[in-house]
Amino acid sequence: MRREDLVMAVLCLATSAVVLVQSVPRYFNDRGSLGSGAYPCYIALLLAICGVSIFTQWFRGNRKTDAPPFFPSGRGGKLLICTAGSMVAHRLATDFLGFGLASLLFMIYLMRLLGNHRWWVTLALSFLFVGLVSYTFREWLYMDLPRGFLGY
Amino acid sequence: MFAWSDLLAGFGTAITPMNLLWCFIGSVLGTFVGVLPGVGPTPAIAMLLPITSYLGPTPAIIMLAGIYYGSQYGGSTTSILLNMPGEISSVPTCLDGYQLAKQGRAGPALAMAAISSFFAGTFSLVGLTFFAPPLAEVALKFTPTEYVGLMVLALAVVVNLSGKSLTKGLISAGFGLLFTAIGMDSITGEQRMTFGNLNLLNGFDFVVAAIGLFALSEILASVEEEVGQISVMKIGKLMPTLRELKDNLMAMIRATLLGFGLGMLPGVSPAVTAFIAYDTEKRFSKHPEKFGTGVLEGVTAPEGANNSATSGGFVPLFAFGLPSSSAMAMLLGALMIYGLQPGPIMWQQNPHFIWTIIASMYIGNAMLLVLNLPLVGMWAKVCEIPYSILAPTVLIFCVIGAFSVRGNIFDLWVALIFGLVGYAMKKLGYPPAPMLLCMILGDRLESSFRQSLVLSGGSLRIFVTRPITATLLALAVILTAASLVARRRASAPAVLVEVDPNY
Repeated sequence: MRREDLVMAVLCLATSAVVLVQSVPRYFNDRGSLGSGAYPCYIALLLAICGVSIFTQWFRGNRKTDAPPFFPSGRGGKLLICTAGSMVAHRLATDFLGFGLASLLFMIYLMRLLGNHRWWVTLALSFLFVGLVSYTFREWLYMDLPRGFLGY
Repeated sequence: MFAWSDLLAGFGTAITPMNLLWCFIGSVLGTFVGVLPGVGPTPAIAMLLPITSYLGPTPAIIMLAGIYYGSQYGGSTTSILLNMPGEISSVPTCLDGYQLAKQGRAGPALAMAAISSFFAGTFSLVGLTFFAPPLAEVALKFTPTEYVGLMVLALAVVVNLSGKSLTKGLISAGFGLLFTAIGMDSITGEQRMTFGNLNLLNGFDFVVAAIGLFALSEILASVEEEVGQISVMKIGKLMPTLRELKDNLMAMIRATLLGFGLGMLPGVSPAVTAFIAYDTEKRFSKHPEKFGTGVLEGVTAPEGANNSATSGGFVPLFAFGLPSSSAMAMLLGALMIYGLQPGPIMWQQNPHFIWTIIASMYIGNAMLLVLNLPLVGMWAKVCEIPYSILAPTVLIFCVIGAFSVRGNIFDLWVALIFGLVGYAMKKLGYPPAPMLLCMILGDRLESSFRQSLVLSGGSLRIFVTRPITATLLALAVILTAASLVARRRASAPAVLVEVDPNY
């Protein structure tokens, strides 16, 4: 058991509490049979039991002190944050730049971040791939990928 | 029951030019996905699933099935040439395959992997042909109560085999079930746990969740490990000698039977069967001490088993509508998207569809032998694609896949959140396979459960008074108890391995 598992135990219990609050009033329907809240109640009980189990294992002394850290340090950690951040930025940018332009910038950034390729290689591959993919899905498969204010 | 005319009619449809083309595309994509470390059949199927909605159900399922069994062939290439398994089911192959490559025998190892895969894949398809129809007839007698028992057993198997901690598996499954409860109740129409968010009225789509849990999380994990470009061992002369083929025949037969038998069990993935087959072959060997130093049987057994398990996995899918692995769960999802419910009803209403898929798998197996033997050098080159190019391209495909499910930007956020959740689960040892399986089976489990209670007038005793249901639930309890005892003794056999999220 790691310290992070305690967080999961708390999450399980909190989730269970929220679900029970939402579902118990609907456990029975107007006719007295099981309503829409019954099934979530059973799931909430399962999660609560699991949460208590983790707490019990923790307090029994089943603690792993040599577990690797959850979050990586060094270059690996930096790459992780930058990649995850770029994924968030890509989602946000898709709304106003559109899929094509947002994906182009996303691919350029990631190729430079992960591989440090030369600029002309990065730009060529990014334009080629994103262009091909956008054309294929929009024109051949008629998929309405989000367009931004520039129309891409 | 099985009739030769049904299978022949299936071949008649499977060999039409378009279906052959999609079978070939699926086989090539599957091999490609299998060769690439970090991209498995589950995320590949998840990414391509929305796009296949432009095809009809038959070519779509032919292609997606091709990706699944094709990936088993491709996984051995990187195991042997790079000591890096393309799929978790190819991990045992690394043990002897890479040693053979270091001895200059990469060619025979690759050939033996392909031949064993073809042998096991083909003979296990024969098993599928004969086992699935009678099991489907048995399933016709099942009421919702029996399906509750079967699904609980399937989930128990998945939870017990996925990961080192039973509690973590249960938590993963619990959250998966909870996610299916979000949205509009299918029976009463009431909103559950939407918190006033209109985007949550239809709940979370399992395809979007699968893209996040398996593809996005894997990319994040690989980025953290700074996976870069890798160098590949030389292949050399390709084929093994006739004597080596003869010596490995029994290994192929054992792997076929073991893989098919275990693969039929709901919840047992090809990854698990590969480990068991390797261990079994070692026990049967006259020189077990040589395993791990470079013996061909160490390649033959796991590669044969993982391929026969894929065919075995189609038995519960077609007979009961229950998936045996995450990738099979995605195939089930694909069938549901087309409005097809696999199980006994499909055998009655649409048997030709099933026989066409089975026939296409025979054809696909033959295609894969041709693709993997003479073209293995080409696949080895694929391994050399820098991860810095592969990662962004896969991520962009993930975005397209997630968006195309419902055309909703909200799903992109859902995929991203599931990706971060999947990454955290990976780091903390929480298996994602139970979560995905529960998200796919959760609706059906709930509706079967509530229908059962309607049948019994609200009494839970129906689950113990009906003999088949009681047996299935008892098996689930016994399995869980046995797993707990095994874990407590800390002498868990090799079968209790942490299954890669790609399965």
